[in-house]
Formats: sequence, structure tokens, C-alpha cells
Amino acid sequence: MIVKKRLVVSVVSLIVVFIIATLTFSALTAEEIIKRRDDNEHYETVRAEAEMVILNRNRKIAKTMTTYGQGDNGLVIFSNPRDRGAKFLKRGDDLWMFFPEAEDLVKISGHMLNQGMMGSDFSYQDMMESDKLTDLYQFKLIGEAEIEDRPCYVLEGTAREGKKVSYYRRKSWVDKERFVGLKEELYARSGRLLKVMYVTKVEKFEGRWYPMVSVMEDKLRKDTRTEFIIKSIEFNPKLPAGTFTLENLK
Amino acid sequence: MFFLSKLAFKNLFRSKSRTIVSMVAIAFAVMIVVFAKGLIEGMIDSVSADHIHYNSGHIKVIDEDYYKRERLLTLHYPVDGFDGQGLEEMITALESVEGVEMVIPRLKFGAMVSTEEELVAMNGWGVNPEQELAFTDLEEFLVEGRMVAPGKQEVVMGTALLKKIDCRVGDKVTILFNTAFDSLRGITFKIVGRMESGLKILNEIVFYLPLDEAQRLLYLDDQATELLLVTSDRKLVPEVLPKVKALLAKQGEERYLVLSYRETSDLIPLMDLSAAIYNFIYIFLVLLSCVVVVNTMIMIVKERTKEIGMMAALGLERKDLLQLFITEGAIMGVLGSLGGAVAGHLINSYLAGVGFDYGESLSGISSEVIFNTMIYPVSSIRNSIFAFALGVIIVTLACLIPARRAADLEPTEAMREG
Repeated sequence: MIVKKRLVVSVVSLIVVFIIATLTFSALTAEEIIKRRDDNEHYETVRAEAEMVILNRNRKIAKTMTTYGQGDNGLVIFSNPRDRGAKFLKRGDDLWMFFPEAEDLVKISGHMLNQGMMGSDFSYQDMMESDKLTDLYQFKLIGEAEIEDRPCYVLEGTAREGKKVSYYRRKSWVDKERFVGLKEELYARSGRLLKVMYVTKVEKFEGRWYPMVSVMEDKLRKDTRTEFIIKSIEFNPKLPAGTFTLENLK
Repeated sequence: MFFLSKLAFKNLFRSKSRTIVSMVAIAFAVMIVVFAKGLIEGMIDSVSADHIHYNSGHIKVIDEDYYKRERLLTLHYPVDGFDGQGLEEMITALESVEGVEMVIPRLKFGAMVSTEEELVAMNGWGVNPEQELAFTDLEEFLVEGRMVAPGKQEVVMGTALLKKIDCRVGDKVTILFNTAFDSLRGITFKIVGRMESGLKILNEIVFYLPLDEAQRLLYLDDQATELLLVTSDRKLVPEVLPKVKALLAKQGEERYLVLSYRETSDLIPLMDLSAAIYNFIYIFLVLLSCVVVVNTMIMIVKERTKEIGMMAALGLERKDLLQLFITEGAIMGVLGSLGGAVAGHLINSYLAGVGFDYGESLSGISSEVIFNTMIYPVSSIRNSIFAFALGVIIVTLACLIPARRAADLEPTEAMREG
């Protein structure tokens, strides 16, 4: 009788240990969540056709562009009639601009990169930054929530020491199933909310989920928001040599 | 009567040094009044003229929403005519208003130039060159090159701005700006002229370009950010302003504000208030000099107590004694004030030509404040007469104190004195 009782206790204990172990090992850490998001959203090279719709009070302005990205470098070529031919090239911390009616290239850097690109709520840095989030921020998991009926992990990232970032702190809502950021709150070091970004459309490309329509609201401006719509995207294409050179910009 | 005046005049020479010190004190005070009044008037004239030339005209027509965000130089709320039909018709209508001599459109926008070290922020002013040269002092300020010409991609900049972007007349410069559709655009312009003036805004911030080019580049054809209305005299503004408002009301335009130059300036009402306060300060200044005169007169009365007693005993009445001493003080007042008024007038006449350069002391003032660092005092006969009259009246009145003291002396007691 006693032997039988001991056997039952042992089996139950084993089951409990097994359940705890399973739960422990299956729960993802913040680092793993962000890494899986980076795996989806980060790329070696990329080429995309996109449209940016700027809504400022009653005004609606649309701009179309082709963008290229590779590591730290980014290139945007505008194609809508009013901006046709304007090209922005980001190389490291500098941004070079080419305008068809200008005889020289224009270089901007530093805090200017945080200004709204072409009057939009996205800054140059937002548009052309391609570093992995895990390299820039130290994340911690702070909870779970639902965005548009989709369960999400809620993470908070603080800039890693020595890393140059536009936003000191960011709160991210990452889709639990697809590992795509669905919402982002971007804060200054002072704690002030600077921007909020929502992803309203996600699509699967070449085995990875990618945000196709994002909406950014600059909280320092009144009544404005900008939609960034990716019309088509190609991951890791072979970009021509010299795509990110100043010579190519002219 | 004549005898007393003659006696009073003679008495002035009994103690020449005291008389001279008293008159110098009065002269000095009156001279300062003339100078200060000329300087304040010069400052008000300068601030008003510069504000009218480079900000408001005599009357400014502007979109109400633009006015609220004027500092941002937004291009979203331009003046685009009646019912958005373009400027041409609106300008013609405004020019037909009685009292309006000229209607000047300006298109102001934010811009920047990238140098090796920094991004230099500046303001572009699209203008009709001919009108600007006729209305403002630009011709005088252009120290090198020429004014921009319509239809050409060229700019004129201030010396300090050229230095900041390391360019000179004849060079080309690529300027970045946002268009009315929020597109960032870069255009290369030729620098054709250099301005030098006492206005920080023109030296460091503004560059001029032709209005037609600015309209084309900013996608604001036949539009401007403001219309400046010019009358023959700024005193006519209260008369013309209602007529302009009536015209806009008749056209059903409620979005435009019609503002007089005083309404668009913070400095001018402040300066006017200062001028009123200064009028009281002048009185105190002359009163201060009266202390010397009164002191001298009291000493005179004390020294001449026995003499006063004797004069009274010989039949000089109280009113005669009063008159004697008041006349003595008044003569000092007249001569001292005359000297001060003449000296002040001469100083102002000289400074009206050469001016004062406040350059260094105003280096901290915002470039957006239209304040000329060169101030030219006004030299006017009116100011000198005002100061002279002020000196004579106050000194004469102040002499009542010692004169009454002399007149109130008892003859017998006075004769016993000394």
C-alpha cells in the first residue's frame, strides 16, 4: 500500500516537473522575441516601390519612391511629378541629397536626420535606418496585449550604451504569431512621447512576414500623420555595384 | 519795473562764479533734454520706418491662419486673391482704394544652406525688385553687385550671411527649402549682390530673390504670403485702413486680416509709451538742476539780508522783492536754457549725420527683431524750443522758494542781521 502511494507521488511529481520545464523552456525571452522580429524585418539588401501619403489637417500629399537598402546604407529615389529625380543617399551618419535643379550635392547630418522627410512624420533616420533592433536596444518583456484582435508581446527597449539612436526608449507590440511589430511608441530620454507608429497591413513574402502599411504620427506636430505603403518589395536582391556611391547619385 | 529788472541783472554779476555755475547746471540739464528727446525720436522714427519697410508696409494684408503661424513661415496659407483667383486682380482692386499708393507682394519662406560644418538657416523673400528699391532703403544697403532681376535664378544676401556660408558675390549657392507641397527642393542660385545695413535680419537671415522665381519654385503661382499697402504718409493709415477692410468685406473675404503697422509691431507702442514716460523724466532732470539754482539763490538771500531789510525800509514792497529775486532766477534760467538748447541742438545736428552704432550692445538681440543698430538722433528746432521753455519755466518757478524767503523778511530784523 505504502509502495503504491509512493509510486503515485513520484509519477505526479514527475508530471509537474515536466509541465514546469515545458512551460519554462517554451516561453520566449525579450531577446528572442526581438531577434525573431529582426529575422522578419531585417534584410541584407532590399529593393521596394513605395508610396508615402502625408495627411496634414485637410491636406493630403502623396509621394512615390523606389528605395534600396544595404546594411548602413540607404537610397531613396522619388518618382512623383513634383519631386521626380530627387535622390537621398544615406551613408553611415551622413545623408546626401541630389536635386535635378541643383548643381551640387547637399550633405546633411546630425540632428537634421531627425527632421521629417519631405514634410512627413517619418524622419530621414526612420526611413533609412536599417540596423537590427537587438543591436541598438536592450529589451525587456513587460506584458502582453492585443492589437486589432491579434495577441502581442509588449516589450520595452532602452538604448544600449554608446549606441546612437533617434529615440532613447521604445515600447513595441510584437505579434505573437507572426513576429512583426504592430505598434511602436517612441520616447525621448526625458520620457516625452515623440511618435507613435501602427502597422495596419502585414504580408508574407519569401517566407517572412513584413509590415506593408505603416502609419506614423509625430506627436510634436498637430493633426498630422503619414502612411507608408509598400507597393512591392524584393528581399536580398543583387544590387548593382556602386548603388550607394556619390557618383551614382548625380 | 524796469528798475527792478535792471537791478536783478546787475546783481548777477556780484558773484560771477556762482551765477556761472548755476547757469551751467541749467544749460547741462536742458542740453541733455534736447539730446535725449532727439535720440528717442530718432529711435522711434527708425524703428517705425524699418518695421514699415521690412515687415508691414503701412497696412498689411495677410491670411488669418498665416498670421497665427507667421514665425513658422508656412506656405499653407498664402494670399491668393479674391476667392483664390490670384493676386493680380486683388492688387489692382487694392491700388484703386483712395490713399493707397503702392501694393507690394512678398513671398517669405524658410530655407537653408549646407556648409562643411553646419546647416545655415535663412529666410527667402521673393520680391518685385523695382518696388522694393522704390519703397525701402535697399539701394543704399547694396554695397556690392546689384539687385536681383525678375525671371532669373539669383539672390542677394547680407554680408554676415555670405560669411556664414563662405560665399561671395559672383559665386553660386545651392539653397534647400520646402515647397508649398512639403517637398524638399534644392536649387542653385547665383549670388548677384551683397547688402550691408544696421538691420540684423537683413545681414544675417534674409536673402532676396525675384518674386516670379519664388512663386515658380514654391508652386505658388500668382500668390504671396503677404501684401504690403503703402500710403503717402503713415499718418493716413487710420483713414485708409477702413476703406481696405470695406473692400475685402465687399468681396466676401473673411480669411484676410488687414493690419496697420502699429498692430504688427511690439516695439512701436512700447517706444511711444517710453516717449511719454521720458517727458516726465525731462521735468525731473531740469528740477535737479534747479537744486543748484535754488541753493545759490538761498545763499544770495542770506548774504543780502541786511540789504533786503534796507530796501524794504526804503519802501520796496513784498511783491517788488519777489519780482527782484524771481527775475534774477529767471535771467539765469533764460541764459542757461538758451545755452543748453543751442548746445543740444548742435550735438544732435552732428549726431544726426554720423549716428550712433549700437552694433556690439545689440549683438544678443534676436535677428528677427527689426531694430537698426545705427540710430540717428533727430535734430529739430521744436525739440530745442521745448527744452528751452521747460528750463525757463521750471527754473523760474523754483526761484519762488528763495524769493518768498527774501520777501517775507521783516525789515527791522533783516537790518539787524549781518
